[in-house]
Amino acid sequence: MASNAWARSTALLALVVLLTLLPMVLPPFYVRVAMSICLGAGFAVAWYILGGFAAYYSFGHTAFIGIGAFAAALACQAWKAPHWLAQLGIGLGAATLASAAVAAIIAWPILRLRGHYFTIAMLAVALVCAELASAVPAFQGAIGIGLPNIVPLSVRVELFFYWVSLLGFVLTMAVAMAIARSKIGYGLFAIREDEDAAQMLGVPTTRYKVQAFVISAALTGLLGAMFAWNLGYITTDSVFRGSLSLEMIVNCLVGGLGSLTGPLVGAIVMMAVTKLLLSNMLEYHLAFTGFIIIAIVLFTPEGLVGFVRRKRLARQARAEGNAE
Amino acid sequence: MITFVNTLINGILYGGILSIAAVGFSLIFGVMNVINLAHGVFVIGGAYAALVAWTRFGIDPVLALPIVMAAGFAIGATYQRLVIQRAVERGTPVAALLVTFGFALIVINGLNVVFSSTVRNISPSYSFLNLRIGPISLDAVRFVSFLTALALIVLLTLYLRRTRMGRIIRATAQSELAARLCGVDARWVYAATFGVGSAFAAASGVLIGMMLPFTPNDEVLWTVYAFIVVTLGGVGSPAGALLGGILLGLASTFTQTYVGAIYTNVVMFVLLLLMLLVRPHGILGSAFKGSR
Amino acid sequence: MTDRPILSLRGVTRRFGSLMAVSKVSFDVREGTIMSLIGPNGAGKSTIFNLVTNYLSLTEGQILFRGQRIDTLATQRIAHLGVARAFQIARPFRGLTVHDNVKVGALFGRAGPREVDSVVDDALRLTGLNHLAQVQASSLSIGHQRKLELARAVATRPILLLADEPLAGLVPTESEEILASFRALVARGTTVLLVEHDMVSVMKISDRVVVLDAGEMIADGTPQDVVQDSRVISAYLGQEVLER
Repeated sequence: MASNAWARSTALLALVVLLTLLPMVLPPFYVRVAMSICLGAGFAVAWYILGGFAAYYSFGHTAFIGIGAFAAALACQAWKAPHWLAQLGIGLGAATLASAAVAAIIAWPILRLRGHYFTIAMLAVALVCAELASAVPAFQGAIGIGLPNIVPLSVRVELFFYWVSLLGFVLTMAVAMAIARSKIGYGLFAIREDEDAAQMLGVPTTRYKVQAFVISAALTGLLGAMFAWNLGYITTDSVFRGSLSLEMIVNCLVGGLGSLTGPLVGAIVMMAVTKLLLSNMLEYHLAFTGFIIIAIVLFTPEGLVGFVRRKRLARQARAEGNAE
Repeated sequence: MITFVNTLINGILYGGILSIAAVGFSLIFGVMNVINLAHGVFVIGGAYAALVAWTRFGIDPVLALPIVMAAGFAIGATYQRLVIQRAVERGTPVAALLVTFGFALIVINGLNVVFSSTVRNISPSYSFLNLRIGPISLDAVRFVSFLTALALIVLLTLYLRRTRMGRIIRATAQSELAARLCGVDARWVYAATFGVGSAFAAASGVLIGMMLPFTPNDEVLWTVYAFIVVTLGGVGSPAGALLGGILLGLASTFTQTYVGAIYTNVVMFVLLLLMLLVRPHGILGSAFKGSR
Repeated sequence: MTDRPILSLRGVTRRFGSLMAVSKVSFDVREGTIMSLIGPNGAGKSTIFNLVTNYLSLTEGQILFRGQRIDTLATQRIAHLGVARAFQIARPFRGLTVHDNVKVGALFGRAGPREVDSVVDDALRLTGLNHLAQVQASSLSIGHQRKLELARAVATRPILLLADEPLAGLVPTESEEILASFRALVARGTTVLLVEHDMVSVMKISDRVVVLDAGEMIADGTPQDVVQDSRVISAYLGQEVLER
C-alpha cells in the first residue's frame, strides 16, 4: 500500500519535472500550444469544482476570468514593484482576492437557484460584469488596460508564461484533488446526486456550495490573470467572452463529467484538435465546437473518460463472468 | 413631461417587440421545460432572412413574415424532432440546453461566414417616416412593428385556445402522461411546439431587423432578453410574455433616458437576477404547471 | 433502557387548506423500542414523518425529541440531533458506490472523524451489504437499494430511526433480513419508528403500535391490544389478522 503511494508520487513528480523542462527544447509555437493547454485544463478543472463535484453548471464563469484579469491589471497600475516576482505576486494576488470576494458576495443568493435557473443566472452575472467593465470609467474596460511586462530579460517570453500557467494548472489540480478526497468532497458529491437527501443526512449544503463556488471562482480568477498577462493588453471583449465560458464547459463535457481526469483529457483533446488540426480553418471554430457538443451529448454523454471506463468495467464484468 | 411621455411610449413600443421576441421562448419553456439557447439564432436568422428578402427580392419585411415564419417552423420542428428529443430522452437535464447551444454555435458561425459580422439594417420605404400625435412623435417603423407584434401575439393566443392543435399542446404541457394515454404522440407535439416557438422567434427577428441594427453576435443577447421577459412576466402564456416584455421595454427606455444608455443592459440583467431570487416563475406564474 | 420517551408528539396537527392531513395526534415513543405506525392509505403516516423531520411545518402542536422541541428546528439540525430517516422510495446516491453512499451517512452523522471507516463497515455488515460495497448504487436491485437506504441511515449513528415502509416490495427472505437488522439496532439502544403495511411483520417486531385513520389516532398499544380494538378492526385490519 505504502509503496504504491510512493510509486505514484514519484511518477507524478517526474511528470511535473518533465513538463517543466521539455518545452525548453520545443519551438515557440508548440510552447504556446502547451501554455494554452495548461490554461484550458486549469479553467476546466476550476469550473469542474462547482460543475462536476456539485452539478451546479455555471454558464458564466468568464465573469471571473474578466474580474481576475482586470483586478490584476488595475492592481499593477496602482502598485509598482521593483522586482518582477513581486509584481507578479501583486497581480495574481489581487486577481484571486477580487474573484473570491465577488463570488462570496453573490454566492448565497445565487446558489439558492437550482438547475436551469442557476445556469442562466450565472450567464446574467457574466453579462452584468462585462457591461460594468465597459460602462464604469474607473475599470477602463472600453479603452483597455495594459499589464506590465514582467518577463526577465534572460527568459524567452513564451516559456515564461508557459511556466506560470503550468504552476497555475498544478495548483488548481492539487486543490481539486484535495477537495475530492476530503469530507467536503463527499458532501459535494452527495449534493450532486440528490441535494434534498443530502440535506436530510446532515450535509451542510449551503455552506459547502458557497465554499465550492468561491474556490472555483478564485482559481478561475487566478488563471484569468495569467491569461490576461499573456495577452498583454486587455479590453472588456477580450476577457469577458462567452466563448471562454463555453470552452470550459465543452472541455469538461468532452472529457466527461464523471471524474477529475475528464476536464484534463477534454482540454488536451480539444486544444490539440483546434490548434493543430483546425489551425487554418479558424473561421469554422464555432461550428466545429457546436458539432462536438451535439455529438457528445447524443452519443457519449459521459465523455471520453466515461466511455473508456464503461468499456473497462464491461470487460471486467465479462472476465468475472467467465471465471466462474 | 414630454420626455416622460416619450420615454413611456417608446418603452411600450419596444416592449411589444420584446414580447414577440420572447413569446416563442416562453412557449417552449412552458410546454417542454426546455430552455432554448438557440432562441436568439432564430431571431437573428429571421432578421437575416428578411434582409435577403428585401435586398435580393424587394419584398417588404412585413410581407415576408409568413415565409420567414414557415421556414422557422420547419427548421425548428425538424431540429427538435431529430436532435433535441433524443437528447432529452438521454436523461441529463442539461442535455437539451447543450444541444440547443450547439445548434446556436453552428448557425452563428454560418451567418458570420455568409454575411460577415458587418452591422446590417433593413430599411423599407417607410423607414424614416414619423407620425405626429400632438407633441408626441412616433417612429413609423416602430409603430408598425408594435402593431404587427400585437397582432401576432393575439394570433398565438387564439391558436392555443381555439384550435385543436393548441388544445393538444396545452394538454401535453400539463401532463404528458395523461396526453399520451389519450393517444397523443407527445414527440410530435413537442416538435410542433418547438416549431411554433421558432416561427414566432423568426417573426420577431423580421420586426427587429427593421427597427435596430443587427449582427450575428447579437444572438446571445436576444436569448437572454427572452429569458428576462419570461422571468418577469411568467412562463408559457402569451399574456405573460406581453406583460414581461412591456415591463422590460419600459425599464430599458427609462434607464436610457434618465440614467445613461450604457447602463441599459446592466439594469436589465440586474432585474433578471432580482426576479430570479424573488419570484422565478414570474408575475403571472407558470401557465401550465402549478406555479409557486 | 430508560422509560423516558425519545419522541413525543403532542396535539400534532397539519392542515393543507381545508384538508386535515393529521389531526391532534399525540403519542410517545420509548427509548430502545420499536414502534409501528399503521393505517389505511392517506391516513397521514408519511405526513407524520415529514413533520418530525420538519420537511413540513406543523399547523398546531409540538414535537419533542428527548424533551427538546424540534418542530421549529431546521431539517439538518434535526438530523444532527440524531434523527435519521430511511425513505419509502429509496433515494440512494446513484452515481456513488454502496460504500461511498454509506460513507456520506457516516461522515455527516454523529460519528467522530476517526470512527468513520469502522462505522461504515459496521453498517454494511448489519444490513448484509458488505459483499456489494464497491458496486455502483444505480445497479442495485430494489431489495438491495432498500438495504442501502437503511445502511446509510444507520451510519449516521441515529438515536431515532424513522423507516418509511421499509418492507414494501420485498420478498419474504429480504423482509426477514431487514427485520433482523432492526432487532440488532434496537439491541444497541437505537429507537425505531416504522411506517408499515405488512401486518404480519408489524405484529412480529413491534413493541407498540399506533393506528391512524384519516389523520386521527384511533389506537395506541401493544400489537395484541391493537389487533383486538374494535375501531381498528372496522377501519383497517380485517378478519384474517385476528385469526392468525
